[in-house]
Amino acid sequence: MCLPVKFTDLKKLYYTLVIASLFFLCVKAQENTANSYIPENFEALKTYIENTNRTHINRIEGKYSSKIKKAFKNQDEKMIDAINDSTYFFHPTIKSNLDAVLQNIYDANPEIDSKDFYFFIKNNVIPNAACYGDGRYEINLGLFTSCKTDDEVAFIICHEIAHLVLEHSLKSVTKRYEDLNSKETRKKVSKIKRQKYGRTKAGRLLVDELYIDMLDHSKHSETQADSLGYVLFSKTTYQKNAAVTSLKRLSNEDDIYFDYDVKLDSVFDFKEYPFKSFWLEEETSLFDTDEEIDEFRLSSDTIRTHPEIQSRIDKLKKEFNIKSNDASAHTKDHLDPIKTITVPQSIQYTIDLKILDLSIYLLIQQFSEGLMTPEDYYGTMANVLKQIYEARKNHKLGKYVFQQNSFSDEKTLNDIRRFIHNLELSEIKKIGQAFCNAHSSKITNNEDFKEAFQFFKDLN
Amino acid sequence: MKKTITLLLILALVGFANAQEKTINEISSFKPRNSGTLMDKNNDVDGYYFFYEVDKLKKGDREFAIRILDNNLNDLATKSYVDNKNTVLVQSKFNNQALIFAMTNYKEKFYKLITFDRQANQVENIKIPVSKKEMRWLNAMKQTGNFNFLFPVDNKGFLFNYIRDNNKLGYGLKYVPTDGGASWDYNSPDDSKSILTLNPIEANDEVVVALEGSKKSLLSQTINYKVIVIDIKTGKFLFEKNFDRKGDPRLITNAFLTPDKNLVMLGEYFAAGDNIMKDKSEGLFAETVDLTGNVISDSKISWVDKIDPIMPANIDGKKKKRGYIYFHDIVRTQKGTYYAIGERYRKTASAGGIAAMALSGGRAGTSVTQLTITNAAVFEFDSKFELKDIKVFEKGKSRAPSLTDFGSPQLNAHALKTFGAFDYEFTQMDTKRDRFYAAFIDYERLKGAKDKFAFKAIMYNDGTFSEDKIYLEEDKGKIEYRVMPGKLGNVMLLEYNRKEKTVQLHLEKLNIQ
Repeated sequence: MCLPVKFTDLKKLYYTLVIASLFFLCVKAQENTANSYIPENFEALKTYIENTNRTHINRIEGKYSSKIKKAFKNQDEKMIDAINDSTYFFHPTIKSNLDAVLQNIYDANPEIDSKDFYFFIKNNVIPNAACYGDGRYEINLGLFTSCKTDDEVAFIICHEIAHLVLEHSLKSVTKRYEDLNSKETRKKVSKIKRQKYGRTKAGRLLVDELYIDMLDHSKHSETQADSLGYVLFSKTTYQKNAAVTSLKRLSNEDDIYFDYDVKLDSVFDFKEYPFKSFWLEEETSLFDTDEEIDEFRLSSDTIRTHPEIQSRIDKLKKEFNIKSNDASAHTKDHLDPIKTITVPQSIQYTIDLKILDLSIYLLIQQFSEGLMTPEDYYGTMANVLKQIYEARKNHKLGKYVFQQNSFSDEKTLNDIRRFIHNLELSEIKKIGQAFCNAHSSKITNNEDFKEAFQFFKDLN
Repeated sequence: MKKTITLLLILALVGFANAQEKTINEISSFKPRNSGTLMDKNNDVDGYYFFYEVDKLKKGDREFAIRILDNNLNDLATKSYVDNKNTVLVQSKFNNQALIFAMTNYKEKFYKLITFDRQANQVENIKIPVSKKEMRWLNAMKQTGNFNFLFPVDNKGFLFNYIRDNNKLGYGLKYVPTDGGASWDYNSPDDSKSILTLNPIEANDEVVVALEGSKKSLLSQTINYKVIVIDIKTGKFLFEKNFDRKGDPRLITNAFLTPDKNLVMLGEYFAAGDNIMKDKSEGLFAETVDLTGNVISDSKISWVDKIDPIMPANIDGKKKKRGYIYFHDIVRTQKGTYYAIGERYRKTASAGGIAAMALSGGRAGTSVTQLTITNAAVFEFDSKFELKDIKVFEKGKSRAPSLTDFGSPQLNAHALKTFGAFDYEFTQMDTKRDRFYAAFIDYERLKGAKDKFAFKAIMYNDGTFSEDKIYLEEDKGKIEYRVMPGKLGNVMLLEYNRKEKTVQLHLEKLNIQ
């Protein structure tokens, strides 16, 4: 099992999206034979992945090396499968511009052996990055969207490189093996097994203890990577306070990532087919409580894997005396061209993977923030409505779009889900038609729009 | 279980490689006991429950976990519950005020009713002593699928219906209020000379309507039914409507309490002296009585005079014999119209049964006859119960061997219904939108393709019918589906991917055209 060290604390939503991706990735797998999901040099990349994994495994030593080697054994195959399943995105513009940022870092830090480094761009809107510990890294599309300058991207890359230099991935897996198999744990397990009563409770408390320890270790690793990452970063030509601003970009209140007010009742309100309030009607729940009740909750269930962003910022500032400096000195030479690709791609992959609630959110948000042209927005939204219709007709919509959850912190996303699932097939048909009728005059030449318009015309 | 996932996360991160991890998993996991669906009387799913055994405690006790999911499959609560080791969670219902769980304990011989309020706090714990024989009979009754063990009374309370071992078998009906009202018991007479069973079929804030069945002995093939009406506030008997064999035998399929507080009973009527389990009915009826028992109206629709003339021809244009219709449900819309949902069937010779009989020299225990079940039929009646229309929905033939060659097709149909021989699954009522969804499983014989099972829904909306269909396999059988009831207008699909050995649950809305 591979253990990428993640940059930010993601918790529930991250897992939701990962699970969603796992469900849906296979949908598009066969269709992507010659596009940006499969690299042109796939064969060479496969060889690289196999070689780096083999080299990494061969380097593992110590008491539990054979077991740890087993854990890493199939990681190359898993990554190749993930590529085949459209998990990653390959684009020359992103590569060339990212390479330029990387070169700046490598030039400033010649001691870093970067010859086996490869940065995969992951189809995921969450601002995040990860280090696999063997030279493979991941950067989510969402990270480029969140960052404002090359400097900020560079600091995050330095943080990930620091994870590799400090061997956090391997150390983390090793520590877990050691903890699980230590004399102390064995003794505790043996004692619990002998217990006649309350064995499960005792077992769960042990799990809790082990997990809390693992989380503490993970937090410590993050802080270490911040420090070493800053050391590497400070040698580059990038502005030093970008370390602070990049962390700020990743901070979010209560783990809410999608907090833009999308105003569904305005976007889908048409003269010929006005918005209906019952499309957002909530269901009565069995219990009238604000949060899930769990009388078996473990302490570790509420602990984050990463330290709070603010404490990381404070620690960095204190340790390196980072001062605010002139924001105009920051550069966007490489991030801007990257964004021209990643912004539309972050929407496109949600459509390809049929995470259509997220598609609607991103479309409204990015159009409102001026990141999309009207032509693209109306064309893509019409296409999304068509996809929603088809998924509902084929009884697949519930597989692609999660149902509403009254406990969800992501209120906006929850509203979109409620809206999508409350709609009936005939209503989707009418909304699609009304949307196309209302905006057709703004479209000059958009194939998606034309196709969707014809689709809804034929249905109606 | 979410908690198990926490553990699995740790173990997955390091790989499932050694015995130590397996041991930790073993000592910290919840053991699943059983699960079920929280359904109301309209077959609307309010949620789902899972019952786990967590820990062994002193004095033969166990800690259990009751995990409750909402109707969107989201976790709502996981509650700890301590009880004797022989505790079994049998059923759960929701009445908008509380959630009730019925537990049984076979060894200690009692039923226990546990209620949780809307804040998920345990508020009531009722223990009812019971004998092993009573429990066995209750289980047998539950397996018929037509027995309401727990019956929710919206915003008022719950009815708990159980078997009592009197002189002969009888029943007990316990009312558990959740609105501050009084609890009561309504039991069959201890000295009854007949075997008596009860099935609550409707309740509102004034009365409980229940169907009482009586027969002389267990082997008797004659059963008499009467409708009993009980005051919900006091548990006092108000009146009964007798439909005995001698006078006016009727088979009640459904009953409603109207907004103007009348009781409408629907079903099939028979000729005086007929046995409702054996003989062919004369037609369908709707009888309305007020809450003092006075008959307001009694409409009868004869097969011969009224139904047969408007029975649609088959697809080949030939107007075949009606055969028999097994009515699964009769529903009433908000407009006051009624719809009886049934399936056509007839008794036919079974080629397999005849061959087996011939090969065994007549000694084989196989039936030479079978019931051939064909199209679904929906009868529409107006508010005065005048037959307005019959709609037939094409459905593939399915066959069920007769349980006996000597009984009538009706007797076999009633018996086979218990074994799930019909294609009918359930009917869900959406009273708010005035819709209903009748669900069937059909075996489609496709030209030029492999025959397939399909879930079919016949839906009524705004005066018109439409159909929706979900094939139960995809991708040459690599993906299989099971369809279960979901929240109103939805079904829950259990999707099994044979190749990847994965199971996914998702809710899908049925598509009304």
